[in-house]
Amino acid sequence: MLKSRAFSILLLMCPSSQAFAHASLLEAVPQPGAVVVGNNVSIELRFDSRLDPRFSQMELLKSNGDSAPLALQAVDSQIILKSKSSELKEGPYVLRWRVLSVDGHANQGEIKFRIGR
Amino acid sequence: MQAFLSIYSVIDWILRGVSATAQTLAVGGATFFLLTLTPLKLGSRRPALERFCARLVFSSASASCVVQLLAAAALIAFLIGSTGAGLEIAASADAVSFHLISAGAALALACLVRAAHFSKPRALFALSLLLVGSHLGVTHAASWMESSLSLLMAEMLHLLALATWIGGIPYFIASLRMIDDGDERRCLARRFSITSLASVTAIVATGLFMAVPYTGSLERLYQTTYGLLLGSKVVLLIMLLCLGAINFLAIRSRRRDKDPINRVPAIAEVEVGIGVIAILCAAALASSPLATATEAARPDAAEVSAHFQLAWPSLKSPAYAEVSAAQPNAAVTLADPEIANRSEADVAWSETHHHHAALVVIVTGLLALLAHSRRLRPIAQHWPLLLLGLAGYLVVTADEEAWPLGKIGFFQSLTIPQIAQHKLMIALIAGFAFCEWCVQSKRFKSAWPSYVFPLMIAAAAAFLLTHYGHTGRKEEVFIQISHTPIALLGVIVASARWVELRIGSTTVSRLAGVVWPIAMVAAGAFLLMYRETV
Repeated sequence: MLKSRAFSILLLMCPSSQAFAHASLLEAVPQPGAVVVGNNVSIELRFDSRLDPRFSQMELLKSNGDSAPLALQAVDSQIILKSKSSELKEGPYVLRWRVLSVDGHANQGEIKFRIGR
Repeated sequence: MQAFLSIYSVIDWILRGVSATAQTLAVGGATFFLLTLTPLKLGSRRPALERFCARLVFSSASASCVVQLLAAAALIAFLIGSTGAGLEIAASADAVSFHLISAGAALALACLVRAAHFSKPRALFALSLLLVGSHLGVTHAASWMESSLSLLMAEMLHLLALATWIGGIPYFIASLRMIDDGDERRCLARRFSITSLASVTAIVATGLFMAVPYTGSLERLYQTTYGLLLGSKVVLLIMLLCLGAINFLAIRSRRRDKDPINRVPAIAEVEVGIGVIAILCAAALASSPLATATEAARPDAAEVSAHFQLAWPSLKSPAYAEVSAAQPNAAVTLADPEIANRSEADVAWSETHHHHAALVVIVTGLLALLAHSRRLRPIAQHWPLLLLGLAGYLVVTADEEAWPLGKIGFFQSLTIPQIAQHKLMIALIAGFAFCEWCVQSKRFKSAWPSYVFPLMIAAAAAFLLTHYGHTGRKEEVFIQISHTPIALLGVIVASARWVELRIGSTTVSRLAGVVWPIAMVAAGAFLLMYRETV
C-alpha cells in the first residue's frame, strides 16, 4: 500500500499524456495501413535524428500475439533502420520499433499493415 | 522497473533542466570573473568578493556533476530495462558518454575553484568550454540528420552566451551588494551590461540560425509543440530584455539623489527567475520532436482560428446527471481521460467550470488592484480568500468522475495521474492563497511568507509552459495554445509582485504593484476563452 502511494506521488510529476519524444519517424515502408502483396516484406524506417544503432530494435507482431525480433541490416545512414521478413502468411501485422537518438532521447511506435494476396 | 520505464522521460527532463541550470550558474561564474571582475580595479572588497564567487561556482559545478551522474545512471537503467542490453553496452551509449564527460568537467571545475579560486584563469576558461562542449552531445545539434559543425558551433555559442548573461547575474547581484563604493559599483555595472549586451546579441543570432532548420516554416511556430515552446522562449527573452533595459537605464542614470542603481539587484533577481524558466523551456525543447519532423499532428490555420473563435463564455453548466461520469453503465476511462470519448455534456461541463474559474481570477485581480486604494483596502485586501474559495470549487468540479461527485473514492483517485496532478495543483492554490491572505492582512511578522505567492505562481507558470506530452495529437497543440498565454501572464504576475516586494516605495514598485493585478485579470480573460474539442 505504502509502495503504491509512493508511486502515485511520483506519478504526480508525470503529465499523463507524456510520451517519448524523438527521434520522430518521418517515413515508413510499409506505410501505416498498407497492404503488402506477397510473402516477403522489406522494411525501411527514416527518422529525423541520428540513431544509436545498438539500442534500436524492431519486432513483428502477428495476429495470434506471437512476436519475432527483426535483424537490422547494415546501412550507410544513421537515420535509417532497415530490415526484412519473409514467409509471412496473409493477415494483419504490427511492426513495433524502438530507437535511441544519439542525444539520448528514446522513442517508440508501431505500424500496422496487412499481408495480402 | 516498469514504473521507472514509464516515467523515465519525465525524470530525464527534470535532470536535464536542473543540470542545465547548474551548468549555466557554474560557467556564468567563470565568465563573470574573466570578463567583468578581472579588468576592474576594485578596492579592499575584491578578496571577499572572489571568495564568494568561487564558493558559488564550486557549489553549482558540484551540483552539475551530481546531476549529470544521475542522468547517466538513469539512462543506463532505462536502456537495460527497455532493450535488455548489458551494463557494459548500456554504459557505452553516446549520450551516457557525454553525461559522464560533463560530470568530469564539472568536477574538475569544482576542484579548481576550491583549490585555487580564480588564480588559474586559463584552466578556468578551458574547463568552462569543456563543460559547455560536452553538453552539446545531448542536444538536437548532436542528433541532427547530418553531422553539422555549424549547428554545433551555434549551439555552443548559444549556451556560452546564455551562461555569460543569465548565469552571471547572481554574481552581479552579489557584487553590487558587497561593494560599498558608488563609483566602483557603477563601473562594475557598466562592465556587466556591456558583456550582457554582447551575450544577448549572440543568443539572438545563434537562436535564429538554429531556428531556421529546426522549425522549417513560420506556420510551424503555432502548429507544433516545438514551435510553441520556441515562441514561449522568445517571449521570455523579450521580458528579459525589458528588465535588462530598465537596469541599463538605471546604471547609466546620472541622478545621485535617489540612486537608481539601488533597484538594480531586485530587478536582476527577476531576470534570474525568468532565465531559469527559459532554461526549463529549453530542456523541454530538447525533448520535443523538431517542428520540421511534425507532420501528422499539425492543425492548419483555419482549424486553429475555428477552435479559438471568439464566443460568449458558457456560464450555465449541464446537470451532473448528464455527464458521462454520472451514467450508471458508462465506462469511465481512467487510464487516460484525455483520449476518452467525451460527450457534449462532458465538454460543456469542463468549459463552464473553466469559465467560472476565469471569472473568479478576474475578480481577484480587480480586487487586488482596488486594494491600493486606502478607502477600499479594508475589504479588497481579502482578495486571496477568493482563490481559497476557487480551490474549494475546483475540488468539487475539476474531476467529475472522482470524489466528491463521482464514483471513484478520494484515495483511489490519487493513483490516477491526471486527477492526482489536479489535486496537487488545488492543494498548492489553497496553500499559497491562505499564505497570501495572512500576508495581506499582516498576520506574519516575518517578510519571507510574502515571497510564497510570486514563487508559487512562477513555479505553476513554468509547469504550465513545459508539461506537454508529444503524443502526436492536434488536441495537444490546441491545449498548448490555450495554456501558453496564461503561463506567460503568470510569469508577469510573479515578476511584478517580486519587484513590488523587493523595491521600497518608489515609482517602479508602485507601477509593478499595478501591473501584476492587471496581468492576473488578463490571465482570467484568456481562461474565459478556453475551449475543448469533443
